[in-house]
Amino acid sequence: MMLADLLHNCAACLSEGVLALTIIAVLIADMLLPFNTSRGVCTVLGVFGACAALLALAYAPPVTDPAAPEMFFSGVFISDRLSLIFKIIFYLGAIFTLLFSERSSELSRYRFGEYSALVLGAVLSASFLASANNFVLFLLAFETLSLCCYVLAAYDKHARLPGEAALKYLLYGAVASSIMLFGLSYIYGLTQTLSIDRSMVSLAEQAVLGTGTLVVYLSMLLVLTGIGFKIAMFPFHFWCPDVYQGAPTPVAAFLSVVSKAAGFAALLRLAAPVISAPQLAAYTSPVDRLQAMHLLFGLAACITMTYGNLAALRQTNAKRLLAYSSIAHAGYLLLGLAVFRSDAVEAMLAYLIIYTLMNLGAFWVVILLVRETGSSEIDSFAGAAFKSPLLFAVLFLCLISLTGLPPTAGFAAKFLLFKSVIAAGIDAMGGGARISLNAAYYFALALAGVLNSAVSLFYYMKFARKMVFEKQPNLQFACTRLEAMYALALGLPLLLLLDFDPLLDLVSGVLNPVLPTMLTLLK
Amino acid sequence: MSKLLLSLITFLPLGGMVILLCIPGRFSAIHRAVAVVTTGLVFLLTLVLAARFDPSQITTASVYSAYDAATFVECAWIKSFHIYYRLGVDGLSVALIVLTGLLSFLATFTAFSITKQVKAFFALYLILVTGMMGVFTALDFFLFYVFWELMLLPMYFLIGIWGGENRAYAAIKFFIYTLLGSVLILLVILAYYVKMKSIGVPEYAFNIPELIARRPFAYPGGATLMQHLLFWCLFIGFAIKVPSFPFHTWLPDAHVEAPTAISVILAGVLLKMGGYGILRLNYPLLPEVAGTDSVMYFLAVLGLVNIIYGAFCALGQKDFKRLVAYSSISHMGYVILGIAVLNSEGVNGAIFQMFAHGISSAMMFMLVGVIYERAHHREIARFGGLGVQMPNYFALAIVGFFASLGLPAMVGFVGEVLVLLGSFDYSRAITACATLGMLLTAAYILWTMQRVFLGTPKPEHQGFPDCSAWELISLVPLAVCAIVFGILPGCVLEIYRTSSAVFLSYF
Repeated sequence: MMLADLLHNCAACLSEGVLALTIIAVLIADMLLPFNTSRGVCTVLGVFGACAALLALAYAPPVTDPAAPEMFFSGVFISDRLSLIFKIIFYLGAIFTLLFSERSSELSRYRFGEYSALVLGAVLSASFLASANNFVLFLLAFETLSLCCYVLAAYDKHARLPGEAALKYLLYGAVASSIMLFGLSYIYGLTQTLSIDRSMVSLAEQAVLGTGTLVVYLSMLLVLTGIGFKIAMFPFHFWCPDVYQGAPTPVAAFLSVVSKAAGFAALLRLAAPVISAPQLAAYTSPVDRLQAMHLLFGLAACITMTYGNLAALRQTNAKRLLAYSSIAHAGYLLLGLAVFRSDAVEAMLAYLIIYTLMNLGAFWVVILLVRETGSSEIDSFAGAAFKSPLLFAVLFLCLISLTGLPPTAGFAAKFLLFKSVIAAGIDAMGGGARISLNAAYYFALALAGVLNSAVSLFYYMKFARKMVFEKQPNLQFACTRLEAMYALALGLPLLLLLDFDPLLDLVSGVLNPVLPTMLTLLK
Repeated sequence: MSKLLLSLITFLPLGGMVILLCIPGRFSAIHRAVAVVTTGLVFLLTLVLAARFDPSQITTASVYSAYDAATFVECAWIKSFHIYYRLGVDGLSVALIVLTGLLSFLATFTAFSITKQVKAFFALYLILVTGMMGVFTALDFFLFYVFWELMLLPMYFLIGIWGGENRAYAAIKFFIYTLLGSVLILLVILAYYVKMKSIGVPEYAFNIPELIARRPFAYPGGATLMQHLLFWCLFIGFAIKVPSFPFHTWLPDAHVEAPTAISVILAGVLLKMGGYGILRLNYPLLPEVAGTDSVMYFLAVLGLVNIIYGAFCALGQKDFKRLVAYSSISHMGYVILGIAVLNSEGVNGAIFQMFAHGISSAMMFMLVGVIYERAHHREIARFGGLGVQMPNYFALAIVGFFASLGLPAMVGFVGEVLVLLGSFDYSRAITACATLGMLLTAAYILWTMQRVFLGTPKPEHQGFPDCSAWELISLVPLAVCAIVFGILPGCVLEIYRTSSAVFLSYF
């Protein structure tokens, strides 16, 4: 029984185990092999490890009851729909980051063992973060992830800019994390438990019933500071453009996808118990509870996306532009939390999956452009579309997807997200003809969201403007067949996912992961 | 076959694009041929559609009887949201589909003068045709929106790559203006989806006929604030496309910078989409708001402002193409005025005006294109005496300009007169002012003709060849249409007469 129990627990974190073993294998391989062979071997090992981890997710325990997810290791580790989706995003992010890095010019001088280990380490901690149901594990995973990211940002150690970027990142990050830790200590004091689900529900109860003091809100705000830093939420976003510009481009891609998704994983890990708590639903109508929360997140969403979009309008550097765009996308995603309902969470998950694909796709073409032109200024990309129409087509697809135009998946993502916002508004009207204040608030949020997407078109099209409308005869821009394959692997799903049925099945839990029959046999 | 007809019309251009992409870039003659054959086939199919379409079947008897039953298709697409691939037409869409087919076919000949990146041009052009046809055939709100946006992407490149001096600016301005409008439409689509779901009929959430029939946001006791919000979101979305004052500023830039073929499509078809959206969605979905006295008056005045303002702007232009662009704003004002007054003459006139403007403005842009090819400038003041040098061109120009002016026995006349008859019923003051607009139209058209074609020939334009065969192929059919439909407007009116009656029955 003991053995079966242990195996059952370990099966829940099978994919994390695979990743940990891969990290060790990569480090050993790097030690034994000469420079030239080690690059290839480490990349391949890392990619295989991440792929294996992705497959191992299929063997995670099935989610039978979404309301009461199964806990492991005495309630520290949780395995549910949320963690599963986030792990898929993290592993996909790791696979493509490693593939991109091997092809990037900015990292060609360095050994890959440590690099792959750091990327996989960041992903490993991110995936623990997505599964954490205990504040200790939560904090450990959060900090390990941050540490890996700081080092990755400075990986191009002979250049000046990456060092500066990483130092900035580290200083900001350390302060934000410590503020979050401070907030967590308050939460522990208020709720007397380290278990996230119980603690958050009890905290929310204190907020709703008005039994808690101001400290309840203060503690939430402090925690939000730490997470807001990770997702680059206004006003904790200042590091973002500098770090993206300074860091090697593949690392910027990694930060914009995995690190940001990890921040959202942390946020949702804290919010999900409150959203699905049955005892909270009993107090008032679901839309009205936690007014302050709706207001805070709605405001944060609006300011974040507007700031990101407006700041991006003036950018001339591709990496900075994408950094501001990623800030704007954090804003759109926060709209889901302003709604604070389960359909909005599903929309956020779908959005994150699509965001991962389109952002990675856009970064991939930028990585190639930086390699070929030696500069990340958009001006230097002039005429590139005529040298490689395929890559331009993929970039364009990713950009209109980021804007949210049909026929791409980005439209499906925005459609689902804004739908959940409008739904909250219409439900707040309660079937009457009068637009209540609550409803007006949600309509305004939705309006802000769609207007922002329209504005964002302007800066995304800067690429098209330079690359197609202008000529630069002596530009060399080409890619190998393999590199074109990466681009297509990211670009094609964007066209197919306009039919968002499969995506919805994934995030709302109609598809159950494959049942590990082996384990049932052991029991 | 008839069930496939609408899908064929919509997706045949896309098929042509795939074939075109398979042909290597150096065979530009074959690319042109593929584009001509594809759009030609599409045009033939639209004629088949018009010939088989029976207007007398269009009634208000049931939800779907307002649409042609023989060609109506519906199959599930995105199941979890009850989004369907649903295509269907009524008289209004048939008229506009035939117009689109005709113009997209003729505009390909105009595009023969393009020598840069021919393959890419026609590939994008064919996507554009699919998008336009899709907008006129879709009866699913989601599908409609997908086509509506699909059209923007090729247009951006068509203006941006093959356009004039200031093309990048014009392209992004067009794109952002239209996108700003369409995101407002998106909000309305979402609101309808959520509302239909909350009243327990999610299966009809994107079904345009059912939405019109059920009016989920209607409450007894007149238009609510929510309905006003929805109405104005839709209206601004479509008015940007029309374009209506004060959202019209993208139009002169886009039309002037675009290559001739694209200006033809922009003026001939894209502007009609705004009017089509108002007639298909905006008014029928929210008749309570549209029928409110203050709204009717406001929109009628808005139409009037367009007529007068557009005409005054046209009077002041020095650039030939810009003048034609502003005349479009003026002419589309009649469409808004005709719809706003909500009577039979007004609505029939508005639809006819859309059709007529499609022919006359397309012709005007082609005429400007012809002279620009030769002179490489468009300054009206530098022209003069062209009538002597290019007699065939002059003859066609007379037809085109007079059709636009609204001379009796020309297409432009019928639409304007019907609209004015309708508005006379509604408000004499507005009609009186709109008639002044006709006077201004006559003024700028005649003055332009005088400056360009009459007077002594200028030495710098010596030796300009008359219209080439390709130019005649694209201009002559339009000239014929401009006269035939002016003398026999009934051919067009008959197609949509029952549909406009259905439209009016909503109020």
